[in-house]
Amino acid sequence: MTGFLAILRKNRDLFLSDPKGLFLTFLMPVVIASLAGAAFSGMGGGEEGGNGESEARKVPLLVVDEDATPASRKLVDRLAKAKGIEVQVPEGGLAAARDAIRLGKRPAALVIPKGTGEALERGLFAAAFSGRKPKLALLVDPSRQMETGMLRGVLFQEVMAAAAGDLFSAEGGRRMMRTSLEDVEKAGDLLTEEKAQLREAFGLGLQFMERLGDAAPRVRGEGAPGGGPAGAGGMPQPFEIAEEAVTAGGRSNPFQGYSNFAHAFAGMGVMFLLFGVLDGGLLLIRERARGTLARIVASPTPASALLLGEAVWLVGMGVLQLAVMLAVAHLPFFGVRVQGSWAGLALIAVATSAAGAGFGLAIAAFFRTEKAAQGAAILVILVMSALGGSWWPLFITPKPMQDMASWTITKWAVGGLEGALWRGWSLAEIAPSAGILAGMAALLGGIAWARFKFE
Amino acid sequence: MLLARDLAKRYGDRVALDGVSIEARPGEVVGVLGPNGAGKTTLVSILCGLRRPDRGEARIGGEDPAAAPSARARLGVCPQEVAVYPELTAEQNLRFFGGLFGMRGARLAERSRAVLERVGLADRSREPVQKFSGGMRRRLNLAVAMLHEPAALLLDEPTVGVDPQSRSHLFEEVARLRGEGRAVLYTTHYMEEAERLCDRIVVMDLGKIVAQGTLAEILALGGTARRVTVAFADGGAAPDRAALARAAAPAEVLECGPVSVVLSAADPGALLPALLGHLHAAGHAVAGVEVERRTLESVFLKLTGRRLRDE
Ligand SMILES: Nc1ncnc2c1ncn2[C@@H]1O[C@H](COP(=O)(O)OP(=O)(O)OP(=O)(O)O)[C@@H](O)[C@H]1O
Ligand SMILES: [Mg+2]
Repeated sequence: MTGFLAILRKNRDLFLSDPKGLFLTFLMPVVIASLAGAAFSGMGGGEEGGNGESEARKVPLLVVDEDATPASRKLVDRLAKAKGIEVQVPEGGLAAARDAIRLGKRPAALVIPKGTGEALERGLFAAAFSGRKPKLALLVDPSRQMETGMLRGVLFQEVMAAAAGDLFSAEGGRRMMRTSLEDVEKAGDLLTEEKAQLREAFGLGLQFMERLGDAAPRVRGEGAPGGGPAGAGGMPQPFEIAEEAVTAGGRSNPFQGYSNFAHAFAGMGVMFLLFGVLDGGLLLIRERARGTLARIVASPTPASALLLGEAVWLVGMGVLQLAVMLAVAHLPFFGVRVQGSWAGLALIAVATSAAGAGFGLAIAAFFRTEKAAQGAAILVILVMSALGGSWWPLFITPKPMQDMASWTITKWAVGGLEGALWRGWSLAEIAPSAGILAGMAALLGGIAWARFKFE
Repeated sequence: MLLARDLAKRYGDRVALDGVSIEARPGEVVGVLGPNGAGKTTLVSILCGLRRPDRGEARIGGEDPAAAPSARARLGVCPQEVAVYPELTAEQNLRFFGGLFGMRGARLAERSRAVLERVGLADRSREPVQKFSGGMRRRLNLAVAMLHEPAALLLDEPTVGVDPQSRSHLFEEVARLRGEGRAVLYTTHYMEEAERLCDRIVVMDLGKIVAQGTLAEILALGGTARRVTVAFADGGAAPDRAALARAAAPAEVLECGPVSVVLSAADPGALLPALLGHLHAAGHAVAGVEVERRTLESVFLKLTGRRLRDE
């Protein structure tokens, strides 16, 4: 025990002996994360994803059809055929869709509330002028602006087409003209003059439809305007899509918690944690080269205490490093808040640091010289950071890269941290990520233990 | 206390140790003398449990150092290469290594002070070791070995690069360790050290023991005859060789010239009075007499056909 404590104290003394180390461990990550967060915040604002990759890949859209009428089903079918998106129906309905977004598994969900079918059938003009528009809800993950921007465009087109589609089928057209006429009569917010004009227009339309019979051409929705909330040709938009950002803040406070800084501090925090443990690994290699390792082996303190001491030291430093990062992120200027479970945050921080420690020890076990270790490990860290979402959000990367990301420490660490920060994950929701990291820690630590040469 | 029995060790194809047996009892300093690559460091690394031998066994107080922490606890090691943390102060280094040996608190502080005092670093204890000179680092290296008052010490060339004054200081330390009843294994390739410090000497070459025993026993292996050289003042003629041989018998005359004569004698003490008397009587002015000192160097040369040092 005394030997174990001596190892921790020695590492502390070594760490404090080098002011550069303090700078690299604590200050640099904060600076880089601030820069990265600020850089990405320029990307926000719902721009459409002009990125070829995200268009090539189908964006999944969860659809919760609470209406379940023929008209609403038709809308769902239409969406399913639309280019660029993949309609998925969540098993657990709205709650499941909400969770999937909050957990970062899906970018958005469309909720088709009760009455939508009826409102759709009522028709384009009625909807536009009567105020009884179909009201859809789009739940989005605010961090995935590229995907949700693209979804918005497709949705607008398709819903517009759905609303307009029936107008030109003979049966629906006649019905629509009739209900439109009724609506015009009932509408309170129209001037008498306007009412008269509309009455005339719908009357003519009805006559036209009735004459047309079943030979009416089907007009497809291709020509419908895309993007932008304004309707076509100065006519008010005939439907509404209310957006809700699914974060820890929930409905009442939609964007609460999310900021590009939350991602940047989590992402950079994990990357610099890995650089920190790399230093720990290099220190062990240096101990071997300097002969201090031989001295340790020749002491009664068992070699296991050495590796354990190093591991505990690295975990402690990792947690401290993340704590400093998050404390800075918490400053008013960055405004990152812990929206999820604090226990979960602690768990993911420890699990991240443990996986990092395993990585650091494995480096020491695989390389005999610092130079070789440093070269290889920096490459691995940079690749993991790029793949695993330290630098940019994971979802903007192509599918094969996302698949590979599951093998990185960064994916689970950054994901878990973001969960605890702005996604508002509970302890139970963070646990799987922490579990995977713990598994990685055990695997890497085991490899290090088996391979480490004490001579 | 310290025991190596029939140790063998090879690195790949290279034989580093081949059947080496050595023992150091309490209160005994055993010198291991050998040139570069003789296997001294390999022997030390096996005795401290760092490496496992291919054959044979190492024992510290009867226990295997590679397996028993209690064996290692009784052992202090001064590695050939300085093995301390240059970033840390002397004090911090001692605190760490003391901790590895289960020392702490007042005892650790008191022992740190004592060993720093002994190696003459007390006034530099709070400086980072990287600011030390090479010799000062070596002295700290030795201080670490003595810190926990081990019953057995392995000192692997502890004086390389240490100035003469500090070196003789270290010799006193080793003598004191012996006086305290500790067993010391001291490797060196300096003859003087082995001659001056060690109760018993083991001469190694290429992983094998070529000779061992007390200094006198080993010197005796160098043969009985020693060279005696007598130099003359300028201007004389060469002595008569036959007369000289009669006077010097049983010593043998090797050279006989106007500048000097060289003889080989088993007992120079007995030869000298007769020899000088004869030369004086024959009218030769003697300028100086030199009797070859028997050294480990010469013994080593005789036993292995090679010089002990590369230079
Ligand atoms: N780690 C190693 N790997 C391979 N060969 C080694 C290793 N260490 C030592 N040797 C070889 O073993 C032999 C004995 O080396 P050792 O270091 O024990 O000699 P030494 O007597 O301590 O020499 P010196 O006086 O130079 O310190 C040498 O031939 C050396 O090349
Ligand atoms: Mg050596």
